[in-house]
Amino acid sequence: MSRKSWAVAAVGTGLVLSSAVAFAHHGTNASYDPKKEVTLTGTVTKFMMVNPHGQLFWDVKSQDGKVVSWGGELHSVGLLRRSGWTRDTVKPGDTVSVRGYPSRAGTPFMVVQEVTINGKSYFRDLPEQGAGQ
Amino acid sequence: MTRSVNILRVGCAVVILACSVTVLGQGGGRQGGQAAQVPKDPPPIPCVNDWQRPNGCAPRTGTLSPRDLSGLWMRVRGANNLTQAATALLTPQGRAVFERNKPSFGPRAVPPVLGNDPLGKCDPLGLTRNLMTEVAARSFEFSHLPDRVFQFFEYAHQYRTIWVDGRSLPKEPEPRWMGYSVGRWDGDAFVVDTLGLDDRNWADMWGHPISTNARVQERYRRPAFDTLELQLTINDPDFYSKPIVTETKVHRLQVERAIDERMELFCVPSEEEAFNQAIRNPAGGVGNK
Repeated sequence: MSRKSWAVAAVGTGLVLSSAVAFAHHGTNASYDPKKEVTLTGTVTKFMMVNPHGQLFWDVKSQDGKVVSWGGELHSVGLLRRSGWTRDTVKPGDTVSVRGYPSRAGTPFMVVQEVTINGKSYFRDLPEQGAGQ
Repeated sequence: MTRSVNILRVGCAVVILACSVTVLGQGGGRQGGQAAQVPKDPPPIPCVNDWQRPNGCAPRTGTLSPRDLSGLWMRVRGANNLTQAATALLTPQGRAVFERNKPSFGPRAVPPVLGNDPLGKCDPLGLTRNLMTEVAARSFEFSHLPDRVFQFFEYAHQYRTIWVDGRSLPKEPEPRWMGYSVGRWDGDAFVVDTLGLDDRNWADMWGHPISTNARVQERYRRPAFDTLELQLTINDPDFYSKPIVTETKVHRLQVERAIDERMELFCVPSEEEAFNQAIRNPAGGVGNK
């Protein structure tokens, strides 16, 4: 499990769009790059098993000691349950390795594919996930 | 048949033996002044995350009634969208609408905030999109009544009525998100005809349009106890130069205890907004309000 340090840069063009933000989600591959899979190990700060997507936040310490707070989106509650998740699967303070596809915009967010905690892996694991993206 | 009888015999023998052991155990408990043991739940079936059979679990077995589609189904094979084959059939009128639709999926995907996908506003997804897309990761359920069949979609708690009392389709239906549907049996195929779809629907999540003059036919077959097939035909001369016939989509019966009931998944605008604020907007490099 390798640690990677990430330089996080806001994308200027995004700021122009802020006034248009209200509703609009889904469209995973439009927001994340499946060709740049990363795995980041860190300490959980928050886990929310909610709809429309579960949310995981964790701090990743880089080699120079800088801490970057990452956010990851998971599936909906029903799908997480079907994949074996519960509300107690991940707790603040847990050390986790999170594999996923990072934001195309370069911000510290990813769509999570796998979370490993205490040697056990929990997967996003859906059929034909790429087919409709 | 012989195998079934043998299984039944073995099963009865096991039950009788188990009952004997239980009675003996309870008798001993009473004699010793101890409370009777409360039977424990059977251990969970290990194969829970099953929709990727055959790599996962063994086939489900049971009594096949081809004309009973009851149960919870989740798609395991088939495309989520109409694909570029449908794009090639767009009429000029259809293409104009297609160009106005800005999807967040497929070859024309844009970040959601730049698009106009009805999904982002929790608008109903409509019939064909429910049938093609949302059932790939979430289930649907058929429930038969004498005069109608209900089809419940897990996503957004949507449902439709399929009339099976012999009525005809209305000649001038008021447009509806899910259309107006009648069903009939053609041999062991359940054939559902629908018209009167609201043209605010997108036919799929790639932004293919569908008009109020479209007619949709679904053909369901249940060739095995745990397998349900569906082929869709969309005849929409306003928007497509030829009828679109999909591949056969395959759905698996969801029978494990952990997944044999529909989950609650409403599309809640406030939840959508909270998610966008926390994750999707910053992930897209877009600031929040």
